[in-house]
Amino acid sequence: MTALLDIRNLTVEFDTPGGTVQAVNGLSYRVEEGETLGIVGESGSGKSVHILALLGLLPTPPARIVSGEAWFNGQNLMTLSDRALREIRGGQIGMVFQDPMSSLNPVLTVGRQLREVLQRHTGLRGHALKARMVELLDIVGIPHPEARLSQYPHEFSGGMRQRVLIAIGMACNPRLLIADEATTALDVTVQAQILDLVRKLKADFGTTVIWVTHDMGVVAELADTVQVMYGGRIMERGPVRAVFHDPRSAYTWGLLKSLPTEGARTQKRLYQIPGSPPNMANMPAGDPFAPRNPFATERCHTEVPPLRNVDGSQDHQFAAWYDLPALLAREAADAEASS
Amino acid sequence: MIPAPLLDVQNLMRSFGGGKSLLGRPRPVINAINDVSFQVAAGETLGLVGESGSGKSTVGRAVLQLDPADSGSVRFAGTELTILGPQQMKPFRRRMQMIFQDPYSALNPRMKVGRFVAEPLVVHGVAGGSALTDRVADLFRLVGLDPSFMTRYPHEFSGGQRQRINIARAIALEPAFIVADEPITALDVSIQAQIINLFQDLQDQMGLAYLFIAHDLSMVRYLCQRVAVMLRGRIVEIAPTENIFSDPQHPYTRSLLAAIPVPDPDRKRPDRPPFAVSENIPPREAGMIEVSPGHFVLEHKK
Repeated sequence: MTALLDIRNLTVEFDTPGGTVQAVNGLSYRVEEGETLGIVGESGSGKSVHILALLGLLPTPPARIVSGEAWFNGQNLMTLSDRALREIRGGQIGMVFQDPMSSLNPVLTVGRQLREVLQRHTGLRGHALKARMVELLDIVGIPHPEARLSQYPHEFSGGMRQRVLIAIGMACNPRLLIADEATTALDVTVQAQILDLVRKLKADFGTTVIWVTHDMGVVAELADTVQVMYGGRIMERGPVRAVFHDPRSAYTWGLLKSLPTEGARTQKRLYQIPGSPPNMANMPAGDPFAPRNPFATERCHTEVPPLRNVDGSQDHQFAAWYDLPALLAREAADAEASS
Repeated sequence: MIPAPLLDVQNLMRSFGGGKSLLGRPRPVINAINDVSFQVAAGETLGLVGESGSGKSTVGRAVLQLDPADSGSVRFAGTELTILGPQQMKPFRRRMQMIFQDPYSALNPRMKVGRFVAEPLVVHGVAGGSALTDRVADLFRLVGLDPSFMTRYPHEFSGGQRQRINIARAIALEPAFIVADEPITALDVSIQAQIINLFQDLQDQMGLAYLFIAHDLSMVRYLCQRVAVMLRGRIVEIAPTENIFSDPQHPYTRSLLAAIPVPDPDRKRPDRPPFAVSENIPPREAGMIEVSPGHFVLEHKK
């Protein structure tokens, strides 16, 4: 397999009145051609900032890209001119962001906005162009696509606007589709339709997908590989099954354990991760999750753990100084002994 | 049936629009809620689910008389609220509170959070002076915040902490009933379980009843004793939680359940039965049928 996207040592800082904030810390990862990568994280995890940085969409200043390369299809996105990046964005890389209200231009019709993308990146003109526009709205499940083209964003519901964004994101059959919380604001039934749509896109065109979300259910359903981020770093990454069934980072474990799954219904309380997401202006010195981690060792508080392979695995990686399975086994044995 | 419900809502109607727009065009009338009836018992949690625009939030606001219904009845502890004037309503406002989705915009950025929590106590003349400070400190402890935070401003807090501050204010007057409108939707995942646990702890300690408005059905299943499903302004199904999940009757309920992503890579989400909301507007004359004790479904085509 070859990497379609190869991010190396990406570090992004923000200059704020309170000092310099590290939003992304030496981030490196690869996405293979045809792979679907689910990225999970919360406030301050760096998940959205690094996506914007590699697409050249991060305003600098206040942001500063300190280091890093992002190789896409033989080109380093970080060194491309704005003009060259504009050619790639919307063309070979399709993007869908969370907020359909601010991502669409309110004074242009939906058809005009779709046409702009197609004209810029494809040779389509005239009837073929119009036909493609209708086809795209139809693919994302918008009824009466032909009539809808002449309407403005405010004439669409939230779910329909998000579909328009997805249609724009896929308009040019991108090799890489990046979605950042694209279905978070949508109702579950609409979300399910859009996930079906992405699966179809993958099947039909072999599209590579990066799906940023906080929803473990969406990751389990859609992704091949999951990457859990926290405090601007990767805490764990690997095949979805391996990570869900055998988490090695206490953060991944806590996220999965706090879900209100069927088993949880018999419990009086949900498992909760203590504390709050890290304050980016005041990052802990060691493992960023250490202050909230009941399993943290002394070393976790002073030294950042490197990302390393799970023993015997080529693709399941984690960053932790502690041995989570051993600690959980001991905890279970203690609970047994005391009961 | 529930003996003497704390809240008894009957045939609630609310429409928006009508009249003429600025340009003189007639504006369409939208029935935001249509013939909505349900009860909530003391200490119970009723989940209210449905798509955006289904009327969930409108129901919550109408129940609290924040945005009163056009017609219908809202009885709270035996008293009809819809006929009360503002002064007569005041004692009931103490006993019914609301928690909003967005913990950021619900707070006043220029008010110290201690004062924000104290405000209802002052307005209702419950406490003053050092007794007030003590009471606010107690409330902070109750929601898991350090009382020393009282002198800080909202921007110094994380989203989860802000929602705790909103909850502290909502419970300040020891209400019997709280409408929680998507209270965890805007929070980070690692914080959601904390807030749900807080809701449960407060219910245990204070005997609170909740109307929990949500679109996260897995959380509703965990938290609520009963669930009402709304579609286009109507309740299409209401039942004990387990009945809704194990024996859903209305096709819309089924499609909603089938859409929940399952956080287990070994379990595939069942194929979604196709359901087009636009083609399934509940007919006006449809009535509720009781299919098993406490499990009601709106008449529909099979």
